[in-house]
Amino acid sequence: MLQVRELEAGYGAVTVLRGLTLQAAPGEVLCVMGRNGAGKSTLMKAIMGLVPANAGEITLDGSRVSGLPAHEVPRLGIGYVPQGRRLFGDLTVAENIEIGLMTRRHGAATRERVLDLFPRLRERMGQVSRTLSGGEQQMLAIARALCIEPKVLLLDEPTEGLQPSMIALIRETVVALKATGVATVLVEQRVDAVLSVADRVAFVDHGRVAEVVPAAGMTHNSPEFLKYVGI
Amino acid sequence: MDFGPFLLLALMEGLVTAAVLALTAVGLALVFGVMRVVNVAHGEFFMLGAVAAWFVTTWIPGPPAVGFIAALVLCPLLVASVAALADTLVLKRLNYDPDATIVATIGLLYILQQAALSLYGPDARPVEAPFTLRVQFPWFGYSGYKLAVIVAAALLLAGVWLLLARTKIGLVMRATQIDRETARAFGINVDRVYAGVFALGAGLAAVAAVLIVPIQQAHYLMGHDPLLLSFIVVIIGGLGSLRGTLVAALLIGLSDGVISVFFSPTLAKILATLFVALVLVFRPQGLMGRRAA
Repeated sequence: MLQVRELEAGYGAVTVLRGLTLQAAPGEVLCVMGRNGAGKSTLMKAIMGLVPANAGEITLDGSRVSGLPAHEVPRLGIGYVPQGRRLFGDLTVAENIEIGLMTRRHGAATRERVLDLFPRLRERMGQVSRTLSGGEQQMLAIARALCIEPKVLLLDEPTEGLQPSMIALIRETVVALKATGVATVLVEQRVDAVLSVADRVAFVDHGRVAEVVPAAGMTHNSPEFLKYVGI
Repeated sequence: MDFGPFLLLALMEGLVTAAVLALTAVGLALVFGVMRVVNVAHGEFFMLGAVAAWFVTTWIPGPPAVGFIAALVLCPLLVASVAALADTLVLKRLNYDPDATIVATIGLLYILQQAALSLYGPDARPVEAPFTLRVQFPWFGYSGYKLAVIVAAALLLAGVWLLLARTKIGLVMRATQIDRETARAFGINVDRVYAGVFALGAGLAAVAAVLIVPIQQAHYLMGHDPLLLSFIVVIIGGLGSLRGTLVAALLIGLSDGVISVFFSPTLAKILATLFVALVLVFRPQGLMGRRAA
């Protein structure tokens, strides 16, 4: 269980998160929605320790995550797929995956399991990752994070700029991970993507969670979308 | 002597220069590539290596080869520890800000230089070569030690390449170079990588200095030329490109040898500096550097 309590964080003098609270349980997909600048990506970075938490607390299964040096956070089992993918572009597919595996010292068994999810990557292990197509790059970014064998997976707009078949593949992956008990926090802007995978939707507004709604009762016309996302 | 043998001699002198320059410049290029730190104190790490080699070879009794091999192992380690300390105490606290680190390494340059002046003195002192072997060519004899320097430098550079391309340490260094924030998100301790890279860069300069000191003598101001030439080489090769650095070191080293023998060393430096200016004007990314996207 990932818990974020009263989190305050920002960049220098600029505070972005102002007392944000949310939680994600194992086997749950929590979607985070909100306008640009609401603090979604900052939340992801703050969980990873890449943006320091000024107040509040982040815990994973009761042990404290906030305050740890950033490189120790993924070792607890938090996988991160950053916005814009952020692959190690000059490295090959195999090397990007190797970096993921090294995080928690996983070996060949993990690599095979992850590559079974994305057979297209297996064919391109020697290719420089910068030269992959957008969809393949996103697969690799997710594969790299899954090499951590995460308890919690943070996905920051993974479907941005992808074609429908890729979006479907990513949705299938998220659903498959959910079945294995991974807690997924998914930042997403597209309503149908959210409705198809989410268990709950957290609407972020001005650095706080304004409302958490179970996805089951939601439709395209739910008023929360208009109110917090403007669509 | 005919032109042919004379050219061969010039090229061999140039190769020695190129070998030592390549080692020093690769150290500078690594530090800039991975950490984005312009290390103005790089030449002083070179000087420190040479001066330390004098102390080690003086203190260790027995044949010159024993002292020299001890120096070859101990001096780079000593200089690397000084560099790691400087990284942790100074550069890390500046958050590796590009401007601040330039000023800080200028400060470091003077601290190291004046420390050497205080502890070692103003004299230039020779270190005995580990062996004296004269290789006799049909036209002239040549120092066997100088040939050994070329071989040793080539082996060390191959080692650096293997470290970067074939080991997990190298993979971690390359990942950190590309994107340090994402590297952190995958468990890479960037602080430790930076300290290690800064130490490795300084260690390479030191090992180059130990190799050259039987030819050149150790002096507390000897760091200026290697610094200038390393910058020339790194800029010509393309900032952050190790392959470019190697090619440029060969180019500058060989032309330095040839021009020094046939014309004058001053002309060689003038032409190298002119070449840098031309590269900066017409191909600012360097011979092998990639244009910033």
